[in-house]
Amino acid sequence: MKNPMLILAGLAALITTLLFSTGALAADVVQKSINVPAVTMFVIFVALTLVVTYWAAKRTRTAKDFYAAGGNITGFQNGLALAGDYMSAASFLGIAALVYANGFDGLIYSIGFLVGWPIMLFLLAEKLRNLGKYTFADVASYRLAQIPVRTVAAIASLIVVSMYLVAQMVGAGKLIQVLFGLPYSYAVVIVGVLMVIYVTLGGMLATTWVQIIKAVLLLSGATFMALAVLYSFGFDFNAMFSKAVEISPKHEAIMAPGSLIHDPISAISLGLALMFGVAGLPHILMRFFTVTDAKEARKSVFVATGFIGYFYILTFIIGFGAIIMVSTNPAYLDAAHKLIGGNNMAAIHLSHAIGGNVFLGFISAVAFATILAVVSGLTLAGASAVSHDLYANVFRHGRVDEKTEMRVSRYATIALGILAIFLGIAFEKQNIAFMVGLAFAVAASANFPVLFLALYWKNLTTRGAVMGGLGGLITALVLVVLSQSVWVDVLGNATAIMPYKYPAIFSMPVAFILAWFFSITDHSVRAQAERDRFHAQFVRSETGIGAEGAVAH
Amino acid sequence: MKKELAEQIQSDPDFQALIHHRTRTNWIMAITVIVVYFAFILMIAYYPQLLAIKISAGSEISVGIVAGFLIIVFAFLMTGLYVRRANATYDALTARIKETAQ
Repeated sequence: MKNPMLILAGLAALITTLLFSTGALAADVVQKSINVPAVTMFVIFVALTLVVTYWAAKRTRTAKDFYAAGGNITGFQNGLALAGDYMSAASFLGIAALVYANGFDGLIYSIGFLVGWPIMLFLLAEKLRNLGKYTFADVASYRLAQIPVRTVAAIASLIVVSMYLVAQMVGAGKLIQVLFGLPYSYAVVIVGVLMVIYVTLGGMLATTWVQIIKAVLLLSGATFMALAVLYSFGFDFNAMFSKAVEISPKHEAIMAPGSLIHDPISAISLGLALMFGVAGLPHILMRFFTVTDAKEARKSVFVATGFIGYFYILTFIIGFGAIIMVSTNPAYLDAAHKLIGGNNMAAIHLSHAIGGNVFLGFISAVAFATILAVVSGLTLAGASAVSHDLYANVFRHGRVDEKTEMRVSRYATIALGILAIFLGIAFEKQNIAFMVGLAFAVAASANFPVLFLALYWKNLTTRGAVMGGLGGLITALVLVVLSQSVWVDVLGNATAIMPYKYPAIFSMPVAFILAWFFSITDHSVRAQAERDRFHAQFVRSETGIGAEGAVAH
Repeated sequence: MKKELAEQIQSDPDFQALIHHRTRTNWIMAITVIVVYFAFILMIAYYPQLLAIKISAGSEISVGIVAGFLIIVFAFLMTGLYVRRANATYDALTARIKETAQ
């Protein structure tokens, strides 16, 4: 890109006009007055991130800059960025909504999302850093045949990324409709256009800093909300819980496990997907290649776990705060005594109850910024799967110069941006509650088993990796389609064929068993050579000798 | 990495000590987290009423909520423990292995 500043300035102007003109227009149509503080703060955020993108664009010259921010991100910065990737609008608004509706049950999700991090640290993080270059497929295919293993990993990555994107885009559209008074499709287009700007121009460096800025804003906003809730009870937890039990229509039930988990199989299955799904999310795994070495990778997981854990404790308090301060206030309820905009708006309404229009504006802008930052990370991961794995290594057999590979990744980013906008609009009216859960199930069933076995099991061969990865992927997808959330809720059939809510308890073993079976029965010459290469891979994964270094600027 | 170098490093006593120590600790820590988490999940599935018990008479706070908070803190402390251990022991060993290899 020869003149990123000019392009940026033009696009920024375009977006600002779009925001304000349509905002005014929507105000008439939707009869919802435009929230001036929210739009102002969001425009400031966008301006700031565009400056960051401009700065990053000047520093993004090589493929390593583009995919891995030159390998120069520190452990602390990466920890914040990882936490930012994880603290999506779905987990902020979604978990606050779950706590608001069910109390304790929200905590089940929070804990599941969190405990995957220590596992990733103990078993994968440093080895990933020592073996990989840009994508987790680098690691999975390190000693195996590049073409088949990368193809499977890239397909699974793209499926996970698309599902996550749908969830975020639909969330963005609905949120903005309610908050800013903008039409749904405009919101989706704004998110799509901005993320393409960040990623194509600034690559991983811009994506990381957008994520860090947003993480700091979100943590500050959530801290303020939780403190305000606790302050009103003199920091007495028991008083807060007592009040919530008194007010909530479910009373005592909000303090114990409730209706979210019906049966043990579903409970364990959800637990498996949440715990091992993190270690299979391409946009998370990709961040381990942005730090200088294994030591920083390790530190970044520690930092991320701390911030994420802290954040989930905050959302729990926020959910209870919303029961107390929002659920009885007619200003936030519609004629049917439901929350205006649905339960996902619990945290947003609470921000208004606490700090009026200005704080509502701040939290709304942060929620929008969150979506923007998360979709950028997802898009970069998806684009890398296309350009680095599919194009450079599968299609061109690794014989491609950096300039071309980077150009392809930018085209892929634009294509994914268009796809995201299209999916966001197509799924507007669909029930997409299952999407993030499904993304975790696929990540845990297709990516994690292959990655884990490639690192830990000498006898894994290409044939085993491909069969295991595909088997896990297909089983997870099919079981979700046959379960309540798609077969009944989306497709409108009377009863679900698959009786359990979550597939991981079946699809993860399928992946491991297929990988095992097709590896031990593989007696080809290639398989033997792959087993022989394990030792060298093992030494490098443990010591970092030969690992990718950082580039000096 | 060349096969010869890999073999040479694998026969280095420092490397063997590193692998022995680290593999063991990592698995013990990982299994501890898995056991704690699934104990919680199985409690939810089979004995939800136990998690509903109040921590003391006159308190609204339930055992489940305390357990949940403790697991979050526990997960964080485990990562901290690992990092401290790795920084203190593994990095020094790795540096020695790298030196020997050159």
